[in-house]
Amino acid sequence: MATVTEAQSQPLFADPRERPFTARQLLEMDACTRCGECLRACDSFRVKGDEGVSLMGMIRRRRRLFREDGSLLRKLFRRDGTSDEAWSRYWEGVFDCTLCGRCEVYCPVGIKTRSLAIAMRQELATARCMLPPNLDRARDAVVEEGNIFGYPNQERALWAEFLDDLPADLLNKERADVLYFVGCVSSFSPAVQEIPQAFLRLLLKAGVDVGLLAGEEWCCGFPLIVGGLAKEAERVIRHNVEEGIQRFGAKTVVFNCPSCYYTWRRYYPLEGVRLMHSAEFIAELVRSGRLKFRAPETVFTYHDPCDLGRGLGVYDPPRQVLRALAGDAFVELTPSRERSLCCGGGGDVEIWDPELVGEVNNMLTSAVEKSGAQVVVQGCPQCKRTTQRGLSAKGSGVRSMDIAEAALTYGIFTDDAGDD
Amino acid sequence: MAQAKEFHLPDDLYYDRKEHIWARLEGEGVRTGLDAFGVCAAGTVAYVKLSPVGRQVQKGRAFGSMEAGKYVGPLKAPVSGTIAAVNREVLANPGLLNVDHYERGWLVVFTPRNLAQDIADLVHGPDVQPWLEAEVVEYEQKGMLKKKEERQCK
Repeated sequence: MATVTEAQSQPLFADPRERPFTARQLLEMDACTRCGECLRACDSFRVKGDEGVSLMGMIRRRRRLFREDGSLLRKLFRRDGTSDEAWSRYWEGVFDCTLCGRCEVYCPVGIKTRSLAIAMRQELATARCMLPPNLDRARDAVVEEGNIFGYPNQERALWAEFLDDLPADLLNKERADVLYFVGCVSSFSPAVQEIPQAFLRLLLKAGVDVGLLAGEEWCCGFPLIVGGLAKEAERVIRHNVEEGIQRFGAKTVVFNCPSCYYTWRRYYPLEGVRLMHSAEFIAELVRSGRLKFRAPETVFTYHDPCDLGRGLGVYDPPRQVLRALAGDAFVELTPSRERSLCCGGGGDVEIWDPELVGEVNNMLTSAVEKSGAQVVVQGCPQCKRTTQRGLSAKGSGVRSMDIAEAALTYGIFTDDAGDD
Repeated sequence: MAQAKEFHLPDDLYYDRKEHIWARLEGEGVRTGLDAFGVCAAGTVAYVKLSPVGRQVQKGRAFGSMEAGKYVGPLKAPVSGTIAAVNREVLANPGLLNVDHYERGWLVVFTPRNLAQDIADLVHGPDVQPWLEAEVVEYEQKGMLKKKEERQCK
């Protein structure tokens, strides 16, 4: 097995200018039968009404470009492959996909739709320099400041400094068993800074030797990878491994952001390091009997974040927590688990089309309202950000809460139950 | 009072030229907030978080964070000092920043540490007008400000 250092000497991502698609992906594009099942699953298609935003449409347009580029007539007359207009039409669809991966569940021929869509973005953004508006600014922000918002990275732990009861040494720790990798959205967006505050309090209550990288935590690389700029992510990945694992000595890394968690699990060269989402950590506390709940008189539902559910298959731990918390007052959303709706905030789409995010989210908030729940629990800062905005715009009485907030609000640690 | 387009900036206040944070000297304290132009460029303010009373902050470092239609990020201190008061009303109702920038929409009060030194590079008095005019032009050229007919700023 390669050590972390050795693994870093190899490029993590292939250069899409040399070979934009893998053999499997070329076969997948060929295998698409245009059955249209993916259209049923595609929220962006429902909003836009343009088949090109669905995988079927993307594949159809890309296949046409392949054909035009390789046609005998074009070769005979030495014409340059394809028209800019055809590429632009294809490009529009590819970057309006939220990469929720829902269509992958519906596809009868088993196309890995999400990784295919990311490969399409890679080809467009990196090999053809066709970036959607503002993605270049987001890329520069990550490269120059280390975070997607482009704000001074030294302020990354500000959310912790807002706490009245912040342990004095927390931000100065140089080593810890557990590293809490907070992520850009939770760190910088005041709409969701309660999430890291709640999760940190849970970790401390549980007696975990936890530390933060603060200004040395850089973006995990997810926005670059899904934006089609994976090569640019190599530097931030290397930095986070050096700082978090090699220097900090963490044996476990915990996350409240499924996209950071997904990126670390899929793309970070790690060995012997345990990675956990907050829902998994809280479920362990529940299973061990250390965390119990005072029964709230509230109906709860749970929304599966795309990167945590379809991306990593983490469906049961949050439900174990919510069943312990709410018992029969926990109701499932329709649809849920593998077919869960997207919040609209994925695939970097908010960077260039915030209206599309809101319209996709509208379908999720409608499902939440239909469930009869008073609280929708989520396990993702971006889901909470978009959903609470959507619920508020509707004037809904339903409240959005992260699983860490729910566990902290209603939980009692059995070892200090007498203190409450 | 300095004015450019629909933006009014009282010239008795001190302004951070990049962050559009205003500072008002009040006896021993320095009250701060976001100026009319900064608020308009940021859009409708949805969330504000502020550091607690007693926290020490250096000039240029964040004392809070804000999320608006076109801005997510820190609010930076115009002076160094200790936070002496936090506007709880604006925490509960961040929209106050959009409608009453200089009165009910204030953010925090600092007990300053190096006031004379810290306010030296803030814009004040007759310098406010040309600075504001230049800011409006720059923001419009960079597309960081909505067109006048689309703006709904006070």
